[in-house]
Amino acid sequence: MATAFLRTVILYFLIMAGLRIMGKRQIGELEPSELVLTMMVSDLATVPMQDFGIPLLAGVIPILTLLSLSMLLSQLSLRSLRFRDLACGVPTVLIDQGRVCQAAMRKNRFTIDELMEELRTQGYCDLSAVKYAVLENSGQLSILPWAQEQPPTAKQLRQPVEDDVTLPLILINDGRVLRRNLALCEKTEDWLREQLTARGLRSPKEVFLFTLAGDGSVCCLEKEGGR
Amino acid sequence: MKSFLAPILILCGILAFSAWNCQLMTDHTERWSAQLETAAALASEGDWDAAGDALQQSYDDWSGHQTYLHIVEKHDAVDDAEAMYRRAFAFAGEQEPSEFQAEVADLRDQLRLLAEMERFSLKNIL
Repeated sequence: MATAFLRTVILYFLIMAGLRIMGKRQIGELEPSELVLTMMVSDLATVPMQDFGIPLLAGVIPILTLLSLSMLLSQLSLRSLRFRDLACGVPTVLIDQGRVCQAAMRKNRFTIDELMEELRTQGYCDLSAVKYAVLENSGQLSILPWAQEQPPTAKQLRQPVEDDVTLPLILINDGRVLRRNLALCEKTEDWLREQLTARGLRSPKEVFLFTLAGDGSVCCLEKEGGR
Repeated sequence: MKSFLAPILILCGILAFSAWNCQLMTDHTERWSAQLETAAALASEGDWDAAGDALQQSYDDWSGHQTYLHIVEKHDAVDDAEAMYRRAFAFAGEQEPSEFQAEVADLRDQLRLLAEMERFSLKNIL
């Protein structure tokens, strides 16, 4: 049992470290090389975890090799566009100026049913509404409608608008004060205490979420049963 | 260039370790095999005490590397060799020449396989 526990801990942290190095994209949209890597790493990790007859090194060495290779290929892709095209492929235009590119669809084994399904998923029931559709390297379809099919923007309407988009910073997360964020928005713990007192709260421990937006607006959610 | 350094160093490190491990396993198994060959030769001459000593020497040497062997080799392969050593001891104790010779030959073959599993060869890769 101890062997299984220790192996699980080691392999878990190894994969976690690998995924952190590879960045956030690994979690969401995957390119082919990333998908293969994720599948192989997860599969490799489970073998020595379950079979005690295989040395742990037999799982660790392939995982380290895969991660190193992935890092190396990422760096090469950054430096060479030709290599990036080779390793990751290039996006394919499936609808160009409203015209369906059938040859491109055949090349990518993308059926008209799949195209229509993707269009419907993104809110377009009619092909004529779409100016461009691009099949990305991640396998997702990016759709750009004709200008007349899009809601007009304030810029297009030449209307002056107030820029009220701000990024709220979390100052209290589930009872814990995030001092780094407090310093970022140039506030003190005394100010935070005052804000809590004004809302009838005695301690940050009673707060589930406390955010401060750039325009000074505060959002405070009390903990359920926190008092 | 710095960004290339870490993955290249890791890959080179793994490669160097693999090559070193291959050489180490070859050296160890050749030595154990030679010790077993001596034991077999002594047994065929009827000197069972000396054969037992040679077998014990080989086994002590082998036992001293058990942890390392379990780290780099499949445990089944190591355990099989361990069982063969035990059987060879039993045959030496009983002074059974044909069984002893056969067991020692199997054991040497098993040790050769242990080293072969670590070699960079097309047979292993494919």
